[in-house]
Order: sequence, then C-alpha cells, then structure tokens
Amino acid sequence: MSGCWSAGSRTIPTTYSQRERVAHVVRRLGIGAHPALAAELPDVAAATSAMLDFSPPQLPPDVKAPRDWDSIDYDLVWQRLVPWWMERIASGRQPLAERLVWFWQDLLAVSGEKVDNPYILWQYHDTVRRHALGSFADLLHAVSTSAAMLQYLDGQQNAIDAPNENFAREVMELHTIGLGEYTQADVAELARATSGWVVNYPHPEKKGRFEYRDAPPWSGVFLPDRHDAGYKSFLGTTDRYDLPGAIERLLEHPSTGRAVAAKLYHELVGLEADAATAERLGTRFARDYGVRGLVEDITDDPAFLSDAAVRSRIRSPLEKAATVMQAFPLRDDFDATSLFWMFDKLNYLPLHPPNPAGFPKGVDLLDPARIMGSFELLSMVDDPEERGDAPADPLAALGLFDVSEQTRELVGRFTRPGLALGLAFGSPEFQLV
Amino acid sequence: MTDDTRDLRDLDHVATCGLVTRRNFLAGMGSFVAVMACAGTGIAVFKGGNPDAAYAIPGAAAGPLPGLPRGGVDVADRSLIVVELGGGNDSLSTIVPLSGRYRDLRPTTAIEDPRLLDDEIGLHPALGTIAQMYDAGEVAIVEGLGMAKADLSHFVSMRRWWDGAPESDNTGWLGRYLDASVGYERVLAGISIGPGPSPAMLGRASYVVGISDASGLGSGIPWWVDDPRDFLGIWSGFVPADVPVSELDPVHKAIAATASAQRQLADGLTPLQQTLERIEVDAYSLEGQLALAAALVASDIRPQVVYVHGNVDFDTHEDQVARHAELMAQLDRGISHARDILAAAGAAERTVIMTTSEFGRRAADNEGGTDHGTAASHFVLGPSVAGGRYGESPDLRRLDPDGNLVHTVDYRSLYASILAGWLGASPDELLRARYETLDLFRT
Repeated sequence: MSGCWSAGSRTIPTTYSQRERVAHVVRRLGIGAHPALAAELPDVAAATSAMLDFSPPQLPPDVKAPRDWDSIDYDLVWQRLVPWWMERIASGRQPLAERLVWFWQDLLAVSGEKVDNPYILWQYHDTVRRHALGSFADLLHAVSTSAAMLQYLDGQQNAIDAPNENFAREVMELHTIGLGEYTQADVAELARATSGWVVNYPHPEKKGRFEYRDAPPWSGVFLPDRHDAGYKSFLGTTDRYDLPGAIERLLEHPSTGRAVAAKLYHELVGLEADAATAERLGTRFARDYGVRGLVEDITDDPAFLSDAAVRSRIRSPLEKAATVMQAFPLRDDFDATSLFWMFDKLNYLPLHPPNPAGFPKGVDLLDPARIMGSFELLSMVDDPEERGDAPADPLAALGLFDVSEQTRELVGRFTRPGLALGLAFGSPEFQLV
Repeated sequence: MTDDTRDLRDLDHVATCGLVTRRNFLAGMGSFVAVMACAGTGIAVFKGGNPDAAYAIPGAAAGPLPGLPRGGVDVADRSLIVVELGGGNDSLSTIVPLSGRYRDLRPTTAIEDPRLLDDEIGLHPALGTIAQMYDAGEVAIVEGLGMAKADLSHFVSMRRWWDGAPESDNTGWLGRYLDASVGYERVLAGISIGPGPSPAMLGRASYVVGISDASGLGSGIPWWVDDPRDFLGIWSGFVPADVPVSELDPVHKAIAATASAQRQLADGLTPLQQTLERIEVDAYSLEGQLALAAALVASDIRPQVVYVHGNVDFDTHEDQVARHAELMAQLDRGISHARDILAAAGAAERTVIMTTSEFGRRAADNEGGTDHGTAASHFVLGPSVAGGRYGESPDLRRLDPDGNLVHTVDYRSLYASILAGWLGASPDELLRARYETLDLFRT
C-alpha cells in the first residue's frame, strides 16, 4: 500500500515534526519504536547514522546437535531461541541487524508448521543471522541447501527418478527473479538441476550414528546418485546445472537484484519502488550482493525520509509486541509460554509463517480477529496505574508524536491511565509504521 | 459518546445501489435485473431484520432465469458451510467400495460393515446421520475428485484446494466469491471457525472474520484498560462519523469493521450459547465447530459462507481403523447437530454443507495406516441438495504408477457446481478457468 489515503486522509497528518521523523527512522531501521533510543537522537541525520550499525549480528546461544530422534529438545525453539531472539529485538542492541534478520527470514521463509524439528529451525535461524548483514548471495546459497529448506520445500524428495518442483518454483517466484521471468519449462529444468539433496538423519539401525558420516548431523547432503547430472536448458542457457550452479545462474539474472532490492526498499521505505529506482538499486546490489551497500543506497534515497514514507506500512503484530516490550517493563509472570500463546492467537508465531511467501503483510494484517486479538499484547505489561509509572503521554510512550487532532482528543479525554494507553494502542496511527 | 449504534452506523447504511450492482457477478440477467430494480425503486436501505433483503432479485419470481439456480430459496438467502477434513481424509474408508479389489488393497484397514447405499458403495458405520440423510435424498456424493499432476505434499495440495485457481496471488476461491458478492459491505458475510481465517476465505476486497469458538471475537483487552464493551464503544470513536465506510482508508475501515464484527458477534452469539451448551460438545472439536457454524447460519448474523477448519487430524498414517472411526463419528455427530439446529430455526433449506480435504489416501494400506494419496470423494449435504451419486468412482484396478487413485473429476468442478448452482456466482471468473458443473441441487 502507498501513503495515499482516500477520504480518511484528513484525519492523519501529512507533514511531520523532527521528532516524528526520528521516530520514523527508528521504526523502519529497527523493530518497534525504541523510545529510549529515539529520545537521544536530535534529528534524522543523527538517527539514520546511529541506526546504521553494520556490526555482525549476535548469534544465538550455541546448541548441541541431538544425537538421535529421541534426544530432540522440543522446547528448544519456544523456551530458548524465540525468547532470546525477542529479547534482542526489544533490547535495542543492533536494531538494524534484527530488522534484516526478520526480513531475510520472511523472504526465504521456512515454517515450523512443516519443519517440525526444532534443532533444524535453530540451525536455519543461526544461518540467517550469520549472513543477515553480509552477502545475499552467500545467504541464498546457505539457506537453499539447509536442512530446513530441504524439508520445507521438499528438496529432500527431489531425485532423478522423482523430480519435485516445489523448491524450483518458489526459489524463482519468491527468493530471486520473481513471477513472469520464467516458464513452467524453467521450473521443470531447475527441479532437475536441484535434485539429489537430502537431510542427514540419524541412522535407522546403527545407534548414535548418522546416515552420512562425513556430513554434519541434521545438515543438507548432496548425493550424486540421486542427482540428475544431464544437461538442463534453464533461463535460456544450457549446462549441466547442479544446485549451486543454478543458484549462481539466478544470481546473475538481472531480475534478482531488482526484485530483492525492491522488496527491501518496500520494507524500509514503506512505498513501492518505481521501475527506475528498482533498476538502479538492483544493478548496484547485484555487483556483489552486499547487504550493507543496498541498505545504504535505500536509506540515501530521498524517499526514505519523505512525508509519503512516514506511517505508510501496516504495523505487524511483531512490531506491536516489540513496541510494547520497549515501552514498559514486562509483567513478572510473563514467560516464554505466555509469549508463545500470545503470538499463536495472532497467527503470527515467529518461525511459523503460514506459507512460503512468509507472514501476511499490508492490509492482510487488518483482519478483525487480528486487530481485536492484538489488544492482548498489552497484557504483557501490568496496569500502569498500579505500577505507578503511567506515562504522561501514552501516545509518545508508544512512539507516536504527530497524530490527528481527533486521536489526541480521544486519547486525552480519559484520565484513567489504562484506558488512555488502550486507546493509544488502538489508535489509527498505531496501526501504521 | 458511546452511542450504541455508532460503530454499526455505516455498515448498516451502505446497502445502496452500489451494493446491488457490485453483485454483478450474478450470472447473465441476474445483474441486469438487479440494476434495473435499483433504478426503478430508488435506493434500498436496510436496517435491522434481514440485511440480505436488499439483495432480493425481483425478477426471480417470474420464473427461472437463464443461468440462475431455480431452487425455492432466493440466492441471496443461501449459506454454505465448508468442512475441511484437514490432513487428507481416507475417503475409501468413508465412502466404501464393496468390491473385492478394495478388500485386497486394504488387508489391515478395510471397513468390515459399511452401511450399504447401493450395490457398489456403503458408508462408514459411524456415519449414521449421513446415511439417513442419503436415504432421504439429501446427500450428494461426488466421487473421484482430484487434480492432474497431484502433489502428495499437504502444503501444496491444501494450497491448491484453498486457492481453486492457478497463480491465485494468495486469494482463496471463497475469498474471491466474497469479493465479488458482498465486498466490504457486510463484515460478517464470511466467517471462519478455527485457528485464524482459512486461506480459502482470503480475498482482496472483502472481510473474513476468524473465530475459534462461540465467544466470537472475544477480546484480549486487559482488565485494566476497560470493560471491553465500553472500550469498543469509545474506540470506534476513531472512525470519522461523516465518511461512508467504503471511502475510508484501510486502517479506519478495519477499526470500523472490527468494532462492528465484535459487537454483532457478541449480540448474535449470546442467544446461541444456550443451544450450544445444551449439545454439550467440546467447542474446539469438529462437531463443536459444526454446531457453531450451523448456529451462526441460523442466527441473525446470517453469514453467507462459514468455513470450519483446523481442529482435526485426518492424516492417519497409523492406527487408522480406530482413529478414523472416531473422526467419522465426530463428523457425523457434527452433521447431526447442524441438521437439528438448522431445522429448528427453519434454516435447513437455505443451507448447504460440503466437505473438502487436501487429498485422499493411497489405495493400498500400509500396516494399519494409509499414506498420502490423490483422488477422493466428498459430500454435499442439505435438503436443497439433489441426493445421489455424482462423478465416477476411480477404478481400483487402474492405479497410477505410484499406486494412487486416478481422479475422474477435477476438484474445481465441485467448486464450480457450488458457485453456479448454489451461490449463483460465475465460476469461470472466480476460478479463472472453465470447469464442468454438476447439477447437485434440486430444481
């Protein structure tokens, strides 16, 4: 969606103060509103430079690979990984890294709905973190041969005598060149090229061993016998493509840089990149697929700080949750299980998107059950009145500064801190980032 | 300020000509008649009572219209309940072939004592209600449903069943139906019961409200914010009073819709609680969901489509005989509750229930269970259904190279038949291709 509102537009301001612009930069380059961070940033230039921290993302605490099926820790994702990860998001340390981790994980999505091995999900998250601010080319190669992706898009079933097109189709449609740039024949040829990969599972008979001794446990393994080594005519060239070769071919295709750059542009700017912008960003990006260069190019684009960009995206449940976590201390009894149920109710469980295209975005986030359910995010915190630290301005506490007169009037009409906060949370402005 | 009618305001007032013409998906003359009626009688505005009254097509009384169903119930009054048997229902154990070949393929899971429907098929013994309805001519069994190039992945197959169209840009077949029929005009025209809105109900220009039980949209509003009812009244004050809902930006539209849906559900569901409590079923079971679906259709809320999904697992790789029997019993009890609730409300004639599932299961069983398969048979139920068998049962002697049934009817033929024959919509547009339709309804 664009920043162009119809008849309701007069209720939302269209020019913004320096504080709102700083808040905009923080909302887009981090996840949430980071009020403590934003308060220290005098203007957009300071905000942008503070947020553009390209230090390597912190990796999750190390986990030992399970020795066999029975030693898989089914609490790993929900009791350990996700709470650690949410704490990173809330903390304000490396906010840009967290934004990019979320973005890449949504672009190259796998879902725990199908990948039901928590260790494999942990590995996948770890892989995304390692490359989130590095090279997209490295990231795409690593994720494409990860156990998680081999499971999620059925690569492990793709063999010379039984081609499976699932990964071939999605890697072109969603991860690289995009719809309209390939034919069904390309999908079939790419399926052949990417055949032969399986996941290294525990050996069915020999206890304590894995099927392929030379490969790490639970990792992707290439089996030449399962691979179709013949020539493939793929995107207009013919070669004996294998998976890495085909990924390289996709990275060389001019549409990949454009498509990925346009998606990150939309994530950070909140507007659709026009054709010329996508072309310019994509061409530069495709030179080395450096994430840093692309992020800098996008934030240098005048559109990033334009009025049209401010609050032009729908705020996701994650962004709402992060904003609440950053604004107030969590309830004492709020734990990993509460976190799980909260996201579960919103159908927005991290690492569990509904389909290969990732989580719902834009107006799809505005379904009534999700809007209604998202009020529950407020129960992460205690009654501000009881806590005795009710914010004087609940809108500002949530990182909202320039709001419509109607919003300010309605929120201001109620002196009970809980009600005022509930209204600020439910305000039209808070539904946007 | 907390004027009770406030958040309902726009949604009650929008049934103008615009709404009627938006239903121009109605086949052939339908839309023409609707537009003419509007021009002739001025603007139809509904308030209270049956909001669907504004959809009435005056021409219908004059006799059957070409392309429109000719049943006794006006198209606009009809509802559809879809029951998704998620995980892949073993339809060979549901609608059981009586052939010796079936028993050869199923040494460990064959159904011993099916309820005979004719000399070819019988129903699972737990399907007593459905068998009774079949005998009364109220059940269509559509056999051999599937697709070319079937995929054995739950995900891929579910997505195809949800979408009902190639390259569907993440919209579902019923979502596109709601886009074309009600658009944004009625927030509760499409209700999904289960974990979140079913992807089959996602459209581009309509609402789908997902609920998990009879508490409706509930409210996660913490106690310290406010009493939920009061809060919603105040909250809907964010919606500008003087702008029609159709002209609002998406955020304000969503606030208006959410407040309205929450309240309509709360009001509409309260009288149903007793009915549902009397049945004493687990609200999160398939039968509880089906009872709720029927209660919603029977209520003043009157959704056009209710989609039940998500709370059962038909993926019976092992221990199938016992697990599947329990699933069948649940389905049958659910149908039985739904039938009773609809009949008591005089809503049976205007409601059709259908089953779907991402695939059937492998023809041969596998040590007490069955693996993912392809073609399957499904039910379409209700007094308005022209009972009997449709399609063609897959030949158990001619399996595909993987040992799967070869489909005889494209699953979108079932959708096309429902869309055209029951909902009065244009299936070619909504499914983005032409499929053969079956005459599943009484004429």
